[in-house]
Amino acid sequence: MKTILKKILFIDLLKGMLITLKTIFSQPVTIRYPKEKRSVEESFRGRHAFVRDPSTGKERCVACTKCAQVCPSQCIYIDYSINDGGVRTLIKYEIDALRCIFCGYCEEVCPVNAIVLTEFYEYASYTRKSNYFDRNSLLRNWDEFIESYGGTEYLNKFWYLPGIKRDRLPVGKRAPKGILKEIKREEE
Amino acid sequence: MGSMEIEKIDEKTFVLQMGPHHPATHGVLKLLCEFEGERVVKITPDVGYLHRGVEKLGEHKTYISAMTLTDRLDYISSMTNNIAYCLAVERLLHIEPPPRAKFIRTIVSELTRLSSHLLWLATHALDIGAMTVFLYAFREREQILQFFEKICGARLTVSYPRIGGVRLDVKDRVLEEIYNFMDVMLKRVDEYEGLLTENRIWISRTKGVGVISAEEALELGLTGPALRGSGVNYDIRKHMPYDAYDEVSFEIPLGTQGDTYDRYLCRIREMRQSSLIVKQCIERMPKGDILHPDAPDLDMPHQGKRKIEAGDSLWSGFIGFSNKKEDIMPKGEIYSAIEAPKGELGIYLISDGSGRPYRMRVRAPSFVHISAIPKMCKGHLLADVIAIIGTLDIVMGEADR
Amino acid sequence: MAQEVKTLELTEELKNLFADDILETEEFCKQVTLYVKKEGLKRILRYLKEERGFYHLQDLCGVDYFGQTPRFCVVYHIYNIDERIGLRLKVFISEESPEVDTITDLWSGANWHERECFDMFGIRFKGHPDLRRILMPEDWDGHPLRKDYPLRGKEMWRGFREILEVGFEEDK
Repeated sequence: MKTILKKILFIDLLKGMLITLKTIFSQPVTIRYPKEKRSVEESFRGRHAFVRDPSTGKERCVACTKCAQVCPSQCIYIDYSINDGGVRTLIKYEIDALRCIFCGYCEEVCPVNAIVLTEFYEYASYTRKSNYFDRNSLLRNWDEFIESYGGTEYLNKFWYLPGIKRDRLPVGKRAPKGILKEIKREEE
Repeated sequence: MGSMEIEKIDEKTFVLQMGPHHPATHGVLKLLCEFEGERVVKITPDVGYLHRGVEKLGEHKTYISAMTLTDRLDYISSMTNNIAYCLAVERLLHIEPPPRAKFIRTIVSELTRLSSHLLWLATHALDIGAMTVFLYAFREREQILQFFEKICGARLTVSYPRIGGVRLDVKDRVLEEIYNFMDVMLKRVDEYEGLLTENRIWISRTKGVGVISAEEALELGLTGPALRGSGVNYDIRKHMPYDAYDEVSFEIPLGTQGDTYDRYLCRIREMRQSSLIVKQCIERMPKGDILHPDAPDLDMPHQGKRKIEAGDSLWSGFIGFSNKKEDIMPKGEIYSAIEAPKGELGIYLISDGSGRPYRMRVRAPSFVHISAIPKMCKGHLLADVIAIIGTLDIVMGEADR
Repeated sequence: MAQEVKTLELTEELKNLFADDILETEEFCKQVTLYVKKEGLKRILRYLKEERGFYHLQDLCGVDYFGQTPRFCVVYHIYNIDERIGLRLKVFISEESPEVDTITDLWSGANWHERECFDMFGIRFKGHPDLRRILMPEDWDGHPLRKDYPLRGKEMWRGFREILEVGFEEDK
């Protein structure tokens, strides 16, 4: 008897419509991109950049080529020269960002924390050349990113790898210092 | 372009090609259907439009780099694919991840199962016509992808599990947020059930459609919820437990009839069980390391000695090619399977001692499920074909590899 | 522990029953491998499925041991759900006559696995209802997963050449 009554009065369909009615009066979860943007979490894997060392003003890369060896899609091209003392100098460093799979292995393996995947992700363009980064454009990426960075000190999770035992890591990754955003520029 | 050989076309039948570009086939799948009136006489599926050569590429990369290939197999649930591969290599090396890493991996596995089942529910309901469920399920899935972003920095193709543990540690603040979200999730599953389970339209579209008995399902090689909907109790989390699944308690929902409605109920109940597993894991999370001391490093060599004694200089971990006395990996072969959201995902590895796999074979559940479509669709209408594709939960990324 | 004991007992029984078909057995990482001759394969599989309860065929794949004399190998993984025992069977096939019996009459799910094995290695299955290429295009030449097939392919596929000749209009 009850089931026949439920069938005639469409109780099952009304139950569903009650749920949708409640949702009309709740706050929508959508945001209107590009007018409102959601903030990404820390160490989000976005555009590549070469870190500008605050003490020397140039990049930190020592041309050990570990990142090129570990990259699964082989998108990093490095050229270096060795002088008599055995010291390497970097000649050419190029990343083809369109080949990159954004796995983060390069920033994890770099022993001096020279390369980083910043939290910047809006770099779509109409030509392929603008996404083929060489040494200078990687440094420019860093300058643009650190200018628009919200906080005062930038320290990426993949530089110090929380949770891993410290003696497994090379020296430069055990307790690296964050990059302080220069306050002088804001005063000017 | 090469012609498809259809053995014999009857003049009474009408051939329709649901081609590779189709919104309801969940990827690039070609179905050649022959109809008599509106009833299906024969269906011939054709796969291979997304074949990327994962098995061949895996032979040319080191074990650690090959993990990024497994990310992209079933691109909706990439954490479980990574864990399947890591389990196979760990069993080859005879190491086990430390307890904290096991619990983290279980949490992440179950979150992935939730995310995959939410996408299944959204697309299946959308194909049948219930469009509201699509947007509700994506609201929850967005939240889960944000948790993945907080844990490791990427939403879809994470390479978070590592051979011997996980890659980064999870903060307590993030675990608390996940715990609170699981309570919200349980209420939302009740909402989805309220919209669909007793709905007369849903019942008439899914009851009696795609019925398959237990013996036929085992012959065809179905696994996962497609097999459990027919009543066979086969879940790898209970049969061959891995990670922390033997330390949490959960139930396995089973169906009786073997039709689409039973498979739907199985997956909805699995979503509830996943939320309970995540809550139990967060309550019992131990403290400790997250990586086994013998786990291979990121820059593992292709050939040569595995352990390099160079102290703590800048070049510690540099590759030495000369000495080949000690093998990098033990020689042998191993087959290890996990309970992926779609079914049984198996990885078969053959190692010849060097740093690259000799043969990496991926047993994908979607590949086997697509071969079951012709048998399940016989005698049904065209609209039921769409419902059957949806209930089998197919992703072309792993069917084609 | 009980599982390993059961597996070893089963292996001993099989060795006694099919003494001339089984060449050797091996155990690594708690998994048992049986090396079987081509002719006795179907008999053993039928016995295991119908009388021992190994209803679930987990996997069927091919391996190319380039440089060894029986060059190809077909690997079968089967599983007993009630007793939780798994087994692996390997059949070695020579390069001159790469043929083996099909098992689609025992497990119909093996149909597509065997088609993929043929597509990737060139191993033919006698008695298969519909042996043709499954992942590669129908008119492809060669078998990609063999070790002497280059990673980038022998030459560009005809379809790609047509696309590239039309050309892209960017970066000019």
